[in-house]
Amino acid sequence: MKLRAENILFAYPERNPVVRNISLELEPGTVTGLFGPNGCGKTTLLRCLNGTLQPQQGRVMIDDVPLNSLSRREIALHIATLSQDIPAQLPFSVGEVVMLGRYPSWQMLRHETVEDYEIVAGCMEQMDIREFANRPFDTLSGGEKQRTLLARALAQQSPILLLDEPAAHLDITRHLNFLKYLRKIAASGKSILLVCHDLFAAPMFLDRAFLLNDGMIVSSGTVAEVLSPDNLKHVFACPVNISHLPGNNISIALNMRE
Amino acid sequence: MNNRFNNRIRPATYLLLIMVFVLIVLWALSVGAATVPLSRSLKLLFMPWLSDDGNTSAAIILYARLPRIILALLTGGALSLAGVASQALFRNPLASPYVIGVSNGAALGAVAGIFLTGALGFYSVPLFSIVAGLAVMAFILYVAGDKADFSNCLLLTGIALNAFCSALTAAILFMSEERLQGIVFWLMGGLWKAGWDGVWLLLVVVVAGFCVLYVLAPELNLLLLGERAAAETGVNVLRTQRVVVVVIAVLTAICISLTGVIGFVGLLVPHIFRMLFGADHRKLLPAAFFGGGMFMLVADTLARTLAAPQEIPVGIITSLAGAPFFMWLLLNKQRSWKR
Repeated sequence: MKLRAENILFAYPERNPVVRNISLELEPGTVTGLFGPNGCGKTTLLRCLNGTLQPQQGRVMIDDVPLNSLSRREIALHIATLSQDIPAQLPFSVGEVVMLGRYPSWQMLRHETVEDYEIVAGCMEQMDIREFANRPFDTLSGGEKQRTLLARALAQQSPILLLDEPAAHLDITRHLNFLKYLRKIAASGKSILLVCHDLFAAPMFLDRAFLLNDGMIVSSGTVAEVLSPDNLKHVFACPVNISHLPGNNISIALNMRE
Repeated sequence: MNNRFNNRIRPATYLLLIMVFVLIVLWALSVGAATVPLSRSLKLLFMPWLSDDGNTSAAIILYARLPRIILALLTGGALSLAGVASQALFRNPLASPYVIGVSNGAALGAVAGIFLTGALGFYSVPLFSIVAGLAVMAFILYVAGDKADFSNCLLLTGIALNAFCSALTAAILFMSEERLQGIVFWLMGGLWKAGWDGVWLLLVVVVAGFCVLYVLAPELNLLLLGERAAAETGVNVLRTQRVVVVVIAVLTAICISLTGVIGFVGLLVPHIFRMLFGADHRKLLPAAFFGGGMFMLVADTLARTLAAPQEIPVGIITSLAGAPFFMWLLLNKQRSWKR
């Protein structure tokens, strides 16, 4: 399942375009990073890609099917999204929240199946929240809430995953475990787009990257190509040292002496 | 549904609720201004061919108490359902079916009906009331349109219309002179107009409303995540919200047209049952429906017996129980929305 954006432009009413002339493709089996400074249009682009915002120009396609010809339910069967916002109050248990992710597969008055419970249990296992299954969502910490919502997105079992800063509240161990897990599920043929600000751990787990600045893609390609010292200096005004690792991977370190 | 992740509800709870329900109905059947022994009421209901006594008790049970009991169960259930739906729609534990303005619209319609016709007749007042309630609904749907913040827009329009309609109601009260007492009595709410013809109409509408909401129960669950997250998980958010608003408005308008404005059932009962059964609407909707019915039946039976043969407006009783609860809710807002 390949998600493709063709030359999309989106502007909120009576404002300048937030994303412009963006074309991109998410290959099955890859983890792609989307980098860029605050307010450069990453989240808006993500919302165009999952159809919750309608671009004024261009189109988004799943394989050869335009996104806007599909219902929300059909889109949810193809694309799972984790957005940044965590609900302030949610009167459900952790297990109930994760089960919400199974909604797209349900039919009228025919809900949870045994298979759904297995999927939900597996996703909770992956996100290390199985022991919280019966805890009220509202009693969790920020990181635990985020892992619960991640498990919910994973429970959709869709071939395309769009994740908006999924690791913002995770500790380093769970962050790394999560990135490893993304690699594993990518290997099973999923296309994953990861919006992130983490230049240090995430790049080691990415296949490709896009760098967004002021609503436009300024660089795309392998992680080493995109997160080059020149690009980072240009976009983030941030001096770095980059070491190349085996397997086309890189490790980035700040260089404040420069 | 979700017993594996929500283990608070046990079969014993259901059994207990059913027993309480039966006891309340029997109690409501046997108490009142005229004494009809319980054994005789049961005989009348289930073995009418065996009841040998006079027609008076038969008339009291079959044409006064029974329709009134059913009216109480249905309006209480409907208002409570509408309350559950409002709280999900606005993702706010303090929402009730009355926040979208339909209630004050329906009340205004009824008051205008009484003022214009001067009759408290069964058909004219409910008709005025339903039409006005649905007009308010159409207006808020029109204003909210397909805006991105649909539910916020509904809420604000509803608040504005509530104020507008209650101002008009006050203006009519001001001009009504000798009809004032009748209008005020109607506004306070009560089930004294119960009769079989109103009950049939209500039964059809309430059962239909319940079915629509029950089918949408998973969508209501998803809406609690937030509108965007619900859309991303596959919910047609705007369509769901519109259908839910229409159901809330129709249930509220028809209840008010038959009983006047009865406060707090739509706010109080959903919370009690959310605490007992959890927030999953597939369980909460049926539970709140029966619970609301029971609450209203108890309140109405108290209303007609406490000062018999005088009748206390039932709204006084529901609000006397409801207002302290509402304040407690405000003070403990965090805790009560959680389980």
